[in-house]
Amino acid sequence: MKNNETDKTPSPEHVTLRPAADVEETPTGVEIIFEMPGVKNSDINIEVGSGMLKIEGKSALQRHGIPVLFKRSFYISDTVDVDKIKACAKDGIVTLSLPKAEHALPRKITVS
Amino acid sequence: MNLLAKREHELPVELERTFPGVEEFFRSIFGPVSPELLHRHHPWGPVHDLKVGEKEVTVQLSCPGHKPEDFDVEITGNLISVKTCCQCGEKQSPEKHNYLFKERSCMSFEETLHLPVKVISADAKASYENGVLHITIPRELKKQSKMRSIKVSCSK
Repeated sequence: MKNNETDKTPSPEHVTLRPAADVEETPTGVEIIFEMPGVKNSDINIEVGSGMLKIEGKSALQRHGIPVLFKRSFYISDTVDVDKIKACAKDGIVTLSLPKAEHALPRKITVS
Repeated sequence: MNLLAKREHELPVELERTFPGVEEFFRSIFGPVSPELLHRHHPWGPVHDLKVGEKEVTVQLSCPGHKPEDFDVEITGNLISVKTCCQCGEKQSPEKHNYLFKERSCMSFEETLHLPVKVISADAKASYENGVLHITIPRELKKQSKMRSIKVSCSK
């Protein structure tokens, strides 16, 4: 006989998956590329604060009938110019560009 | 009602197709194959879902970063095969990038799935949206046989 309480246990709202990512350092900053298949641009939520970058995306994919939620976070250093972070998404790939702050960029000093 | 097609206690179709009789050979030595082993996803293949509806079969493959023209989808009987080529070329070459770490892989793949029901392959449709390949194939519905009453006559 089945336990009634067990039957009433709500099924989880989503299955959380960690999207695969590439992190590449460029001369002007850092680029993070996430694989988030089935996620519309409007369903992507990116938050930056307290030295942390969080990205979430509700996917149209399902695992065992439960919707998939892609979720990942990164610590970012204070050399990143938080106000100039840009994001673009295409074909299930989300690209974040994190430019270096001016004080972190290399300076050329001319010898007089 | 949607069913999630499973291949329980069955060796992969590709293996049996390449080496006919291999399934029987393994069964004779090891007994039935563990379903956990068969359902474990290929580490380099795309994640896929296969749903069998009342009127159609839906296949979804997550392959982000491709273009619609990269895919080659073929249906032969009850087998559907999806091929794609890596079009990234030198762009993805790690030597030209300064990766702090790299988790994504960019490679060609070929995935063959066994459809558990008969389908009308001529009416199959495929679309690619947000990194997910959707393939919809109508089911070949059985014609319902008409009820027929037969009178029993007395033999003289």
